[in-house]
This record gives sequence, C-alpha cells and structure tokens, in this order.
Amino acid sequence: MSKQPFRTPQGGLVQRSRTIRFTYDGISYHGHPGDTLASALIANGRHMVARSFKYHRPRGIYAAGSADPAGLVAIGVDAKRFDPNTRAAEQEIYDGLVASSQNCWPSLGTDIGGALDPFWRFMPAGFYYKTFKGPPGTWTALFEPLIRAFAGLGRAPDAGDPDRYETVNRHCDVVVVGAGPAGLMAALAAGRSGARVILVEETHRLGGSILSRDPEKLSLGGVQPAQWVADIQNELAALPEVTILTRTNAFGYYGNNFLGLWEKVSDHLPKEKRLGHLPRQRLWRVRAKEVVLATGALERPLVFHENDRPGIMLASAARTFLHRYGVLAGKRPVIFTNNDTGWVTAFDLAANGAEIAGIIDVRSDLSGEHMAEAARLGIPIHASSTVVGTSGRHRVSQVEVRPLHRDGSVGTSFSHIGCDLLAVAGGYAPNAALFSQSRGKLRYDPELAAFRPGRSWQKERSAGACNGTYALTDVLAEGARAGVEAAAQAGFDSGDVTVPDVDGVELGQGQLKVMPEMPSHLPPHRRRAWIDLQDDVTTKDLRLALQEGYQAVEHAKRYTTTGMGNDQGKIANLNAFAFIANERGEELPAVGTTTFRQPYKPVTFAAIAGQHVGPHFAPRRTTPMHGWHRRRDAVFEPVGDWLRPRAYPREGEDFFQAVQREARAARTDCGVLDASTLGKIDVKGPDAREFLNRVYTNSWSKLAPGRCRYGLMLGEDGMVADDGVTACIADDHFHMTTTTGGAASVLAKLEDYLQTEWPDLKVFLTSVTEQWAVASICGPKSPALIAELLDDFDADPERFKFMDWRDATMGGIPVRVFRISFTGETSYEINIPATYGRWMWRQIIEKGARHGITPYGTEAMHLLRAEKGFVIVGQDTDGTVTPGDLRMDWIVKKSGDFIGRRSLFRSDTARKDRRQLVGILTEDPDLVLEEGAHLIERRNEPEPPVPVLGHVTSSYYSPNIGRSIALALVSGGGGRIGDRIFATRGGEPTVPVRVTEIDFLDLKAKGALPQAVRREGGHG
Amino acid sequence: MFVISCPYCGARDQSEFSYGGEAHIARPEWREDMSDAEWADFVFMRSNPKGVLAERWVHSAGCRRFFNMLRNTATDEILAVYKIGETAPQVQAKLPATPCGEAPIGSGNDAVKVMQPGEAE
Amino acid sequence: MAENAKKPSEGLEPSEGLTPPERRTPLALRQSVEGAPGTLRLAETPFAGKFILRLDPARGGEAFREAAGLDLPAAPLMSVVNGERVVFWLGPDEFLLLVPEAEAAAFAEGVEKGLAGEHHQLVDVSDYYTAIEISGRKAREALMKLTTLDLHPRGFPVGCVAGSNFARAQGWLWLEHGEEETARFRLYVRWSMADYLWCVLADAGREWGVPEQIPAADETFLTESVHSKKA
Repeated sequence: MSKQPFRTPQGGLVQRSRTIRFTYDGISYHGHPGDTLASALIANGRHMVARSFKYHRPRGIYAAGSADPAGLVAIGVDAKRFDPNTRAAEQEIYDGLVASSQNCWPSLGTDIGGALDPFWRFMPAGFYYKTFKGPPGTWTALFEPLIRAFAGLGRAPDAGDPDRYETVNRHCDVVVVGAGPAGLMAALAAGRSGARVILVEETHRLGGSILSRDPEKLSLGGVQPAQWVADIQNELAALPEVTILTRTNAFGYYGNNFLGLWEKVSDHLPKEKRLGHLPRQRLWRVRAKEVVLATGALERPLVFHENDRPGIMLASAARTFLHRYGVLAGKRPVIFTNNDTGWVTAFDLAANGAEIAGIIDVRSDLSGEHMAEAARLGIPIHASSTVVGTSGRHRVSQVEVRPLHRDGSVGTSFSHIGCDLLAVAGGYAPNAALFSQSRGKLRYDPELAAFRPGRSWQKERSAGACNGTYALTDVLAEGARAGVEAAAQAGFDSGDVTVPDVDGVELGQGQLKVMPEMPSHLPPHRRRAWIDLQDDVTTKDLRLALQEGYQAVEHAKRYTTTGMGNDQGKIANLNAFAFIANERGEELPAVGTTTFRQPYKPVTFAAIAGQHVGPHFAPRRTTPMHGWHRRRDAVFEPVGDWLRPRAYPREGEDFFQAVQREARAARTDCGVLDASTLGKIDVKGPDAREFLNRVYTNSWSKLAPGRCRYGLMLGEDGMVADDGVTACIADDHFHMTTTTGGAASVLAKLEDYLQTEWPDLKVFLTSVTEQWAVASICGPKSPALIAELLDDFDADPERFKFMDWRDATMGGIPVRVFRISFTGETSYEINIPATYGRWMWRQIIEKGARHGITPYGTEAMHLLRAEKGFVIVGQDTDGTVTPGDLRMDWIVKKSGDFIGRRSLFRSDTARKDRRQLVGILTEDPDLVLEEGAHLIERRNEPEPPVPVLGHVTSSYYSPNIGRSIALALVSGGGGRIGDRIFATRGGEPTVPVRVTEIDFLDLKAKGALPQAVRREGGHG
Repeated sequence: MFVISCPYCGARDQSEFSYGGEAHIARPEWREDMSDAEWADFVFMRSNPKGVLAERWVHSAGCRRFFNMLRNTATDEILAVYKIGETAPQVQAKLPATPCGEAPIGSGNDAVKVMQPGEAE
Repeated sequence: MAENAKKPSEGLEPSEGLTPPERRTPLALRQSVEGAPGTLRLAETPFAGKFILRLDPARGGEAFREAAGLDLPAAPLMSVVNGERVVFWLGPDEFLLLVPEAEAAAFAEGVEKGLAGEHHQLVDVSDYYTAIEISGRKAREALMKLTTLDLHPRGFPVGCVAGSNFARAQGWLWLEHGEEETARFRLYVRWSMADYLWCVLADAGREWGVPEQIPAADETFLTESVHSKKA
C-alpha cells in the first residue's frame, strides 16, 4: 500500500485485496482491479501523463472518463498490438500493462518540443496558414515534414493488426444509452415490460454518477448506491430480453434510430488472458424502435490564466477518483468554483484526509450552510475571488488569487496558496451529443447556462442529467418515466415502476455564476487561458479569430481548431461558444453551436471493418472448375467478384508466352475456356419474343427453336449497355446470355421494364447463371472432340451449323450444346448442370489430349476475339458508344421500338464525326500500343490542347496475325480506313499507324494487311 | 441507412434495396415525329426536389419487386410506399420539413442547430 | 471429399471412354463443423431437387396444388411443407420448390403438365443453389453477425423465409425448426458464393468454438495490363 501514496485507506470500488503491476514510461507501478490507468497513476502521485499538441505543455488527467481532453497515452501489448491515443482515464489496468507517453522527445519530463512554449506569442491562431506559405512544392518538401515532426499525436503500430474484430446486427425495442441512475431506471422499467432492451454503459461498471458520490451520505431505497446498482443489475440480468453491454460506447446515432455501439471485449485483459475465440472489439449495429438517452452531464472547466497544468482537474473528477477508485487526487487541494458542487467536493476530500487549502468562489452570495461547514472544517474561504494564475512545472504547486470586483475587474491585492491539486467546478452541462447527432434541436437553458435537448427529431427521449435534470429524485423518476414511455411506444406495458426513496445530500449547483473568462489583471494578449486543452486553444486565439473575421462558431472552430481534437471538445465546446457569444455581445442561442457529429469518440477502423477483412473481404466467386484451374497454376484476374483464369503459364513460360501459346493453339488445334461465369437468364412466356424485340436492337420474330442469335442491348440513351447470344428453346422460351460483369444489372434492368413499363407482357425471367457449368471449345479439331465427348452426337459443323444449339447427353447427363463463337473459329459451348462441371472439364482435358486441347484464359480469349474484330462491351465501349459508333448498323432494325431506339436519332448521336470503332495497325509490326493511347492527326504534337482523334481501346500482339493489332475509337473512323495517323506513347515520340477494318483475320486472309515498316535496330 | 417497408416483405434495412430513380416518368410511345426535346425530357430530365419525391426502389436482395416510395429528400423521411401502377397517395410532409427548418434551397449546414427564443418545442 | 460426391441416380451408361459421371457440390470439400455441443453446427445439405416457379398464384395456385400435392404459401415470407416437399415464398409470383432428388424429374414433369394452360415458368435450379444448414442454440446469434434481418423469434417465426444479404452475398434463409435449443436454419446460396459464405459463417461461430475455415485464397493474381509487351 505504501507504494500508492494517494490511495485512501479504505473506500472506493476497486478490489483492494489484489494488486496489479503495470508500467508507465518504464517505471513500475501498482494498482488494483477496477482501476483505470489514470486512477492508478494518480494513486501513485503521478498527474502529468502527456504533452500538448502545439506548445508541448505538460498535460495531466483533467477528467475521470471519456471526456478527458488531453490525458492520452500509448498502450503497447506487443509490436503489433500498439494503440496510440488511448485515454488514460478510460484504459483499465491489467497485470503487465505497458503504457507510455507520446508526443514528446526524449522523454515526457524533458521534452525538446517544450522549447516551443516560450514562443507561444508567435504561434497565434491560424499560425500554420500564415507562416507556412511559399512557392509550389515547399509544403510537401519542407513544411509538412517539419510540422509532422513536432505536431501530431502518437504513432501508428508498425505491423498489421493480428486481432479479430466483429460487427453484429441487433434489433431491439428500446436502447438505453448510459447506465447511471436515469438509465438504470429506464432499463428496468422497459425491461420489466418484456420489451427487447439493450442497456449500454461506457465503463466496465453500471451506476454512473452515483458511484462518484460519498456512499456514507447517500442511500437509494435504503441501501448504498453500489448495492442499489447491484440489485438492479441482478434483476436486469435475469430478464431474458435485456442485454447489458458494458465497456461499450454508443458512438453514433444515425437515421431511423440506428445506433452504432463500440464494445471493447478484451482491451482490459492481459494478452495471455485474451481469449482467441473472442474478438478484441465488437461493433454493434442496432436498430431500435425507441431510444432513451441517459448520458449524464459533463462538468465545465473554468477559464483562467494558466489553467492547464497537471494537477488541475475537474471537481467531479476529484470526486470520482475518491469515491469510485479510492484515490485522493491531492492531499492539499484548492477548490475553485462558481457553484455549490465545488463545496461538496471540498467536504468530501476533507472527510478523506485532504487538507483543503482554500475554496475560491467567484460568487459573493454564498450558502450559509456551506460556509458554516467550511468554517467547522477550518477551510479558508475566498468569496468573490478568482484564480489569476498558477505555477508548478510538472504539477500545480501554487495558485494566485485576487478579489473580484462588481464591475468585473480584479483587485490589486493577491494571495498565493500552495497546493498539489486545483479542483475546478464550472457547473454542469447536459451531455446532449447523441441527441444532437439524432438531429434533435437544442434549447438554451439560462438557468443552467447550457444547452439541453429541445425538439426531438427521432423516436428518442432524454432522461436525467443529459436532459438538464440534476436532482437525484427527479433523475430517477424521469428515467423510470422514459423507460415506461419508450416501452409503451414500442408496444409493451411496464406496469407500475416504483422509484426508490433518496436519502442524503443533494448535489445541487445552487446559484450558478458563469463567466466566459475569468477576469484578470493581465491584459488580454498576455493571458494564457485555455479553452481546449488538447489542441492548445486559448481565449487569445479565439479573440484573434473573431478579430480576423471568423465570427461564426463553425469558422472560429476551424480557424483555431478548438474542439477538433480526438475528444471533439466534449468539455471545451460550450466554453468556446459562450466566449464567442460574449465577445460578439450576443446571446448564446444566436451564436449557436457547431455540429455534433458521429463518432462520439474515436472508434478503431478495425472494429468498423469487423470480420470483413482479408479472405472475408468480399465473395470470391468461383466456378465448379476452379480447383482444376488452381492446380494448373492459372494466373487469375478478378472479373466483378468472379475469379477467372487469365492464363495458364507452363513451367518456364512467362505470362506473355503463355497467352501467345494458348491463342495459337485455339486456332491450330483445339482450345477450351471456362465460360461458366457468363450471365444466363431463362426467358419464358407467350410474349417472350416481343419482349426480346423490345430489349435488343435486332429482330427476334423469326428465330426458330434450335437457333441462336447475337444481340446488342442499349440504354434509353442509345448507348451500348450489354451484349450476348440468346437461344430459342421453344416459341415461348429463350436462354439469354449476358456478359459476366453485366449479369446482375441486365436482369435487374429487364425486370424493371417488365414490372414497370410493360406489365402487360406475359414474360417471366429467372437467373440460371450458376445452374450451368460451361466449357467453350474451339478450333479446327473441336468437332472431333465434341463427337467423342457427347453421346451419339453428330458434331459435324456442316450439319450442326454455326448458331445452332442442340439438347444432348454427355455420359448420360443432359447437356445443352451451342454452336456459338467468340473467336471466329469453329466453336462449341457445352452447358452441363454445375455439379457435373468439374467432371465435364476433366473429360474434355483427358479426351482432348490427343486433339491438342489447350485450356486458355481470359487474356487469350480477349486476344482471339480482337483478331476477329469482336467487341467487348466495357472495354471497347464506355457508355458513350452507340451501335453506329461500333459500325454495327446491321444489328439495328429499321422498324419497331426498342430500348434506346429514339436516342439513335438525336442530333448528337447522328453526328458524322462521332468516334467509331476501327482497326489500328502500327507501321512497326512489333510495336504494341498502350490501351488508352491517344490518336492524333500529325506526327508532332502541337501545343496543348492537342486535338485528339480518338483512343486505343484494345491492343495485343497477335500470334495468329503475326504482328500487333489494336482496336480504337476514331473520330469519323468509318470514313478514314487506310488513313495514316499517329499514336501517342506517353513521353516517347509518336508512332505512325494505319486505320483499318476491324476483322484482322479477314484482312490477313485477303492479303490486305498494310506493308510492315520495321524500324532499324528493333523497338524500344 | 434507413429502413424501407417493402410492400411485400415488410420493413427491411436499406442495404437490401436498390434505387430506381424518379417514379411516374412514363416511357413515351415510339413516334416518328417525336422531338429530340420530348425524348430528352424522358431520358435525362428529373425533378430533383429538396422535399417530397416519388421514387422507385427495388427489393433486390429480397423479392426483386419494384415499388414506389414517397421520400422527403431533405430528411429521408419515408411518407408512403405503394405498388407499381398505383397512384401516389396524398401526403403531408412532417413539419418542419427539415430538422433545422432550413431554407428549401441550399445546404442545411448554416442553419442554426439550436432553438431560438420563442420557438415552439 | 467423397461425402458429397456421388454418381448420378439413374443408371445411365456413360459414352465410351469417359469416366463415369461424378457430381460435386460447391461445399463438397468442406466437412461439417461444430462448436461446443449444442451451440452451432454448419453442414451443407447437398443434392436436393430445386425449382424456381414463376406463377401468378391467383390464377395458377389451384392447378399447382393439384399437380404438386402442396399449396403455395398463402402469405409472403412463408413456407409450406408437405413431407419432403417444400415451397418457399420468394416473391408475389416467385417460389422456390424443394423436392427429393429422386422425385425431381417426375415432379417437374407433373407441374409442367398441370400448369400447361397457365402462363408460368418452372426452372431447374438444383445446381444453382446449395443449402447450408445452420443449427444450434447460437444459430440466430451467428447469423445476426452477417445479416440485418431480425432473427429474434418474435420477428422470425418457424417456417419464415426471407431473402436478404448475408455478409456480402445474397441468399434465402429458412427457419425450419425453431425451439431455442434446436433452431435449424437453412441458407440457400448461389454456387459461386457458397464457399465464401461458409467461411464467414464459421468465422461468426468462432466464439462458440467453431473451427476456423480458411477460404482457399492463395491464387496468383495478375491485374495490371501486361499483354501488350512482346518479349
């Protein structure tokens, strides 16, 4: 015990029977289960834990919970588990906890950055904006690295996060945020009704503010606060529909009563006790019918010269450390207050052995009762006085007090009071952050000199201190009422809920006297009165911002950064608004507030990402043949969520060589492609033909059963949206295919037209994409292979013609075979029910061996179709390309409406100089253009802007043509066949190219390929 | 994220739905003499109000049905859900039309987030 | 691996030279997994006959009942069970029919015949979907990590069917059995997403001891454009 000099002999809710060892900056300390890092450090006499953001001033623990502005430390479990910016006042200690200071060098005590502090006068608001200006490049090259070296908070861990995180969805009738007296009563009332209730508590213990009260001086229903809380907790735990979440922060209140809760599941445990099967943290996504906000009130700091030293803290924090943790924050405290709660703090501290060095109250009209009690305890009283300065390097050691005059000035007489703690009590303000997030409107309460919930927007209600209700009896009643009402709104009856009798001292504020800044003998420009302890924003900065024209609170906030730290100014903001209002000579409601945004406090990205990381990031859609592709060491590419083999490089082969080999084999022997990913839609109904006529640009009236047809689908804007082959199964039944990536959107679009535009059409659509595994077999030897694979099947391309399809069996299994081609080669597509897909593929490979079967990937497929001049929607089109632009006018019927038809006649789509798809052949046959390369008229690029003729959409080296080939969209391209234009190549000189037709196989067959011009010395 | 009541499946999370654009924009019948302007009005022009808008949604993860919905675009308040082919019901948007009572045009960010003296709760 | 791999039910002779047809469901390589006894168990339900039926129930419901021997669900989100035959409501004119595989062909034929005069669509989706059975008293909790559906017994009674997103995949969830201790769901998911969902479900069960199921995600990827370079 001797190792914790500020631990009280008894009292507090920590488990004194057990001692925990932890280290802070390498020094070993003791604490007890139930301690936070802050309470344990203070028990050891340590207040200073951090350096401030801008001036590197020493910072201590200022508040006892998540509102603490500046007590940020780093918690390092190991190299991978390293959490910067952890609030010491929230982190529970455990055996072996390693904490360290941050934002200082070489150490917290002697921080080089602290040398900045004497220059504070030269670092005003907007300092960065005014100072770090220079020619382009100076910011990234010089200023940013410089600033980053000095400013910034903490450092990120060096390695990836090894822990698991989880998101969980929940629906419930009532969410109660905050388990203080109001929240507990609300949860109890709502829980008893049988409603589904979630009670959320930020700390590890239910009870809230009543745990910060002297248990000897307060009883509820005849028992001490902790016992009363335990009784309720037991009752709630026994209710099957009630969930209690401790160590959980309701960080976000979103639309439709959607709340984000952040649960720290194992942050309070030593590494060896963290259970591997539990996530480190959970994010609860809760949809509530009704919400009860019981988030309490936050105490306001007092704003005076040198109010930032370690050892200066909120009076409420001093009481919390005392009653909840059994820690005396100071042995010789001074209390500085503007209301009665400061006095209660003094008496509580005194009762636990502190020698109160003085109570300084800005008010003149003081409570006789309190005066008498103070006199009885021998506490010096400084009525109508203010603190005008403090001293002490790493902890406050003395305060300077001066009398306050009626006119708002201070007297010339002063006294110095030695102390080791300055507890400041500035009055309580409702914590209405979540209410504001829910888009409720705040109301200014002049009596509290603070904002409280006004008009609700969502189905929520505030109860207790967060609603501006401070008297405990009223708080309990309001909480119970809120619980009953919320349950009733959700359809549940709570019956009668009795509110316990409260016996003891009320923690009343009495008459509150709020002053935006304490008067001082110093001129304003010499005062250093902090508004925001984390961001080092003082009244001087706000004054300057207002002078420079940043009058609106939102502007002043951004200019000075007040409230912009990772505490989001929980305790600073109200003082900032009040100060601005006072300076502007206006009332607070007229000045308003900044916007309260989610999250209430920083939430880890890991918790937000939850389990959807790494291999669980997104579905990896695979075909039945995937295992085979993997074993063949295929190189994959993602197509939408699908994994498709891009090529199958053999031993000693690089990707390019593999693609060339595959593409060659498909034309010389036999190639096979896994085409299972293509979208497939079963179209059925008496109006199916009419439907196809309306959704495709061509006519389907005469397509006979057993035949297939290629179709283009447009958007209503006339632009090509998708393409594919559709087969006629029967007069009223078709099998449609779409692109792999377009499958879902095409089905959605077709359903859209059927359901909303043409409900009279009798057509049903059902996706069958994954019902079928598909192998596309092509090449001169494919007919022989097909004949071997299928049972009694005549595969002769003379009789089973291009664009025919047949029912067949393979090993007795019914299959559909389509004579369709995306390569220009003789080609067959076998569709087999997916469970047989793997088997089918193996048969193809085994039987195909003697036909030279070569599996090919998407890259060879792209290359093969380009050789034939077939387009890929999404590669050669980009949403601005019409069928005419593709020079596919043949596929557009002349009569009858279809989706997008009218757009083809718009003045813009009928323009003659639209970019059209053409072939592009480089004069150097070995040179392969970059896809996206710009095409221009002349060899030398003129001064920008360069008139661009178009761009390359597809580009390959073709083994079958024996040279490079490319497709491009070129302005008026159809009329420019044979023209010589130039292609850009990044920074390199342009190269001459020839505009050609797009079917390169045909050009080669006709001997119509332009003369190659080989450059000397090869190519670059 | 808001909750949408699918007219077939009931209340579901917004993530199950896809947006289908403004509702009640009929596709004009094909006519040879249809002007560019008339067609462009159908293809490109939408009302985009700050306030109540009739829009189409589809329950893509569920029953795949399209339906119509009246939504206040300034507040995400859903005022009515009705099936395709039905006429939009007459609705009264909740007052104030926006949480802060900000102007019908422009962003809400400048509006006062606190009640002014004399303002009714 | 052999568990879900089996020969076709009919004794068809394969064409000469082919190995006998062998089927494999998407989760054939996944053994069923279980956490602490009674908490959570995952297993694939392979090989059932599955059909999508599109039909206006007001016009063809009667004919369907006569042909199939079971009613269409009377209300949205409901299922009808008759022995081993089950009908799910998927949409106002869309239903999923489940029948034992051996009966599937005859069943389909019967339905087609019975609905001959009525505008309808009957599509075999036996291989399109597979079903993952999720059972145990933590089944609801595990699923709630993946879906925004309200699976509390008050919101999701026995027999309920709902289409929703499960993690990042669409699926149809059916509560076959509902008592707290024996809750048994079946999740119908597309072939290509089945392994993804299996692994995410197992991950959701980690806290009750379900062993980690790692997706085979070690494929080599090549996403940049390299096809243009001639060696």
